Amino acid sequence: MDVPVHYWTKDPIQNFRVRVALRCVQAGGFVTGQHEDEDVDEFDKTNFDNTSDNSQSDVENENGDNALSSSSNSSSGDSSDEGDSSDDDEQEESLLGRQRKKNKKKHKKKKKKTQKEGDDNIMTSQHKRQGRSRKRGTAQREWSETFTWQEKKFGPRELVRYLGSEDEEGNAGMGRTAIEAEYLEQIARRRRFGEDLLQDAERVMLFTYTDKDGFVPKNEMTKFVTTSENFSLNPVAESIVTIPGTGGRVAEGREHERDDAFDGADDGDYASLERTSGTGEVSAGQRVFRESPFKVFYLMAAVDVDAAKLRSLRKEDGKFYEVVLCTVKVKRDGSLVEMQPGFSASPSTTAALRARTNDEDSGPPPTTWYRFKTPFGSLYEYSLINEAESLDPLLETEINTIQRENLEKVAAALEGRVPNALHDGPSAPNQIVRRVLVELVSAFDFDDAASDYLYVQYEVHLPTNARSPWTWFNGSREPIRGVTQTARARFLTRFDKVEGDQDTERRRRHTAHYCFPLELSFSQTVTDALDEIGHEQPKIFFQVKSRDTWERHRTEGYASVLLPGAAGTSFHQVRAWKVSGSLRQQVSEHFVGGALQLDSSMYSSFPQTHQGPFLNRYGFSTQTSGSLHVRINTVVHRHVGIADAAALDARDRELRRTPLQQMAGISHHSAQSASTGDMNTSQGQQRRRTVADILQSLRLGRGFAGSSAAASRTAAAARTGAGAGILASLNRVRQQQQQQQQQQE
Amino acid sequence: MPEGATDFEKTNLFGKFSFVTGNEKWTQLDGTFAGQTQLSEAEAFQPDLVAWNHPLDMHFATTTLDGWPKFCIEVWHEDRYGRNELAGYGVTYVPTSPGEHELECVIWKPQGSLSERIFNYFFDTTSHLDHTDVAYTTGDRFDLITESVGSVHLRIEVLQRGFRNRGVEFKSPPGALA
Repeated sequence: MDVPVHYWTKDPIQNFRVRVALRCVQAGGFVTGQHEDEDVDEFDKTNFDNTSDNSQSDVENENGDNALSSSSNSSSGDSSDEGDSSDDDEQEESLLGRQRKKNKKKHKKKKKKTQKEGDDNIMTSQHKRQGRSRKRGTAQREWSETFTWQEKKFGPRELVRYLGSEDEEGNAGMGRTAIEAEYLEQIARRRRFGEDLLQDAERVMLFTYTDKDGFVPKNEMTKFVTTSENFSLNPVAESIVTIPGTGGRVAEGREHERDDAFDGADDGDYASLERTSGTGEVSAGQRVFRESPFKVFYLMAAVDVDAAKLRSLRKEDGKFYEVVLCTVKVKRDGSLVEMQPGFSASPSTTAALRARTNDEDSGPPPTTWYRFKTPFGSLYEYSLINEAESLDPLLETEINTIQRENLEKVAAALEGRVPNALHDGPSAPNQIVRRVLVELVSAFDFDDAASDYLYVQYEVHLPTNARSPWTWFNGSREPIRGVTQTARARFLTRFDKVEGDQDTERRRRHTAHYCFPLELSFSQTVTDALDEIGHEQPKIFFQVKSRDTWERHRTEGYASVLLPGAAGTSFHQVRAWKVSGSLRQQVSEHFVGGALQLDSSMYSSFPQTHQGPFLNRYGFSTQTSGSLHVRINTVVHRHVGIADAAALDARDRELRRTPLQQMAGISHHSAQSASTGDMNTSQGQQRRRTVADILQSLRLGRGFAGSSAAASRTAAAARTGAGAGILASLNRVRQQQQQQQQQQE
Repeated sequence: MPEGATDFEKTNLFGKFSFVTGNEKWTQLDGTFAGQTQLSEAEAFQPDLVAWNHPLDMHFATTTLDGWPKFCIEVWHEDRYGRNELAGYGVTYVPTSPGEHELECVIWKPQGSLSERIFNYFFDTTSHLDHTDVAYTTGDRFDLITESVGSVHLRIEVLQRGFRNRGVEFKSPPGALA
């Protein structure tokens, strides 16, 4: 019963109708033999009827042990509806009993015992009276009300507040919120029209709290999350639970001890209705918003109301028990309705049964009655019946189709912005285009004795043998050369995770930053798949040179990177070496510079003059110098014909369709056919209606009592028919506005 | 997203970034393609790292693989007198292979002549590039003499759609050809 039930709906705001039927199972004055926290759904009604008379004393003992059920003590009696003359005595005694209860909160057991003894007399007298009435038959009086979404009906507490305050000096403006002012005005207007708001005041009143009221049920305020005795909410929880901006006002009061948790109206509660002046609560509440935006609607019942006392508008005398029958939450996007507890009978069941039996009244009795107990000992049960218009299945399919088509139109529009073809690709099926994005990131660890200023010359060489399939994208085979800027190296920390870098500690290295992007496009002609890998790959050669203030250029290192054939992103940390020549050359290099240079940088891989299978570098001595950090992105572009590409796209779209779409057989819009699809729908728009049209026609039909559903309303609904008419016209206006907006779009 | 900047000498840094594509065949579908991070100050005991955590989200559509987008950033710093001055330029390619990448985009700033450098030292200014395109392309780089400053760290996730049906491969599966 504590689990909220969720419903999907197309139109909860307009279409939400719930009928609350409440009836009294057991009038008060009894100790029922059940503990407060037991699941009353399992309560056996027949058992109760038979054994209640006999089990008085047993039950008392049980209740004496249960700390929580102090409220079920029979110290107070609901005898007001009997209209007995000893009413006032009852009330006073009940008041006494209550006060006694309040005074001895800490010593529950002792108090119970004294109360029991003291109250026995009262109890037995009440019991006899109640027994008489009970024997007349368990009260089958049923109260029923129908509510639409956010329909405000005033409860007894509010009536007393607003009517009562009006009788006073007319407290306009003092400590009133906007809501209060609005309600005051509403009530004043209705009174001016002669409506007696208290005419319906009887033992049971069904009313609502809307989202604006800022009502928070007591169980949310006194939620016991731990076993600790201290159950006051911390400021964060309080600001989340209470509605920001209302000053944290809770209709049922906050400062309650545990055993008073089920106290209904009380003097203390009236006092707490005033806006709490604590600035801490207000400001905390305004800072924290509802986590997921929803609108809430509470269906309430005030039971055991003393109608006479209420009419007298005396705050001190009204005692009743306010209980939340149902909490309805609608998420902001309007399609998910969360109800706790849920509807008593599923709407489809009700509708189906209604259709089958062709019944004019409210249909078959609902299957679930929820129960609650009052502190006065009465037991009530209620049911929530969904009275929303159930859509004709044909209409529903139509609405579904329209919504789906709208979604697909949006998707197609987005799809239309994405181009279909990819240019600059291979032009023949045997051609592969590789795009290589080379980024020379930095050069580090070069000798800093000579100079800080380093620049890098690069050359990209395609393999030179005649059989090689590699060319540049424009067809030539000339190497590409270039040079970076001259960067001054500094001691900077290196963080990068480099492939194969054994040195993982971060330390400062002499680093020169280049971030030199280089975009290369190769074209490779292959005859078959094996041909892709069977050839020499292009390479990029780097020469790192340094330049000092005397304009001496020295070679700091040679490095080369093989451009990878596989697609992907790779990092390379390439070690460079420099030539170590004879002593004479080294001295010359030091003083003048430029002595130790290679003829061609290709020497670092295959020299141009190399022939034959054996590469001999004997006699060539080098010296290790710094490293280059190179980042390479490779993209491989193989040939796919346009028709093939389109076919593959279509197959992908097919696979991406949800099972629901597949089942419905809705045809998908492709980017090319989006235009033709638009033409179809523009023609079809003349005969297709929008969702709003359909719903509006439903409402208009409903307003004219054309459907059988209209005739099946209960008297309670008819009473609020005036209000419903206003609501219907409001709905019509809203629909027209929406239509206008849609037409503008 | 640019996670932060490291190793700058100055500690109050913000970045102006943009995504530059090579040519007009790339269309920007959705998202913010240029922006500026907040000004962030390095922690007292770890002056190396300046954290931005600026989120990026953008969608491109293209008809060619030419002109793959590059992430370009200018790092600026604000000194205690409230003056904003350039700290450096940096550019790096958006990775082509799908998945998550952690990149280090290195930053350099132009260096002027000796007299300009003395001036910059005393007045806490920097030489700027005349056209920032030079920072993002390679044509005129050899003209420059630059100085290396710190680096900017990025974490980028790349997703591609529609390329596979047109024969483009961004990441070879392990064990694939070559």
